[in-house]
Amino acid sequence: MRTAVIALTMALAAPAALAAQDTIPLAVGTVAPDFSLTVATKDGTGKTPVRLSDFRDQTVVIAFFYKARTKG
Amino acid sequence: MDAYRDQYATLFRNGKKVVLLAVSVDPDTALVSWARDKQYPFRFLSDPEGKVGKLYGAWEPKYKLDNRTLFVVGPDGKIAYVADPFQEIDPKAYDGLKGAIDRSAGE
Repeated sequence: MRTAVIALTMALAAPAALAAQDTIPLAVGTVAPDFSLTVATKDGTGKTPVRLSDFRDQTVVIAFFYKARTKG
Repeated sequence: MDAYRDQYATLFRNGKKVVLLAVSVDPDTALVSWARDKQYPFRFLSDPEGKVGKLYGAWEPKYKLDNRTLFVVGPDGKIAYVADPFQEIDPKAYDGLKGAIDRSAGE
């Protein structure tokens, strides 16, 4: 019985573990991959995309968040 | 985002050698409208397909949104600090972030 319970627990846990792997953040010490995205500010949309590499020699805080007009 | 705005001078040094990029799946027009309403002084980036969220491991596949993962990238281009998740509404979260920015950008 115990074996069966363990097997069932593992079967249920496996998909969750796989899904979680998609969201493991890049680790400290990793070279931050460059990217290019459309920029938006209070003054409007940028004419040219912003790249991470535009800010070389500066400290860049990249803050991902859920959705505009939500808290947190 | 209000907390980022309200601490922009102290935490992000008014953008001097410290750049804040806030990334979500929202269309750029929604981000502009929000930033205008709230007078956010920093940049938003629109990533509707989540390509950068996936690249950085901030993506939540179930909801097709980015989690509140925060990275500090140093002047050397390497990731110096990760908060997963960054609890923007928890005042204590800012101690770690401020320490990371100060170490990266100099006291």
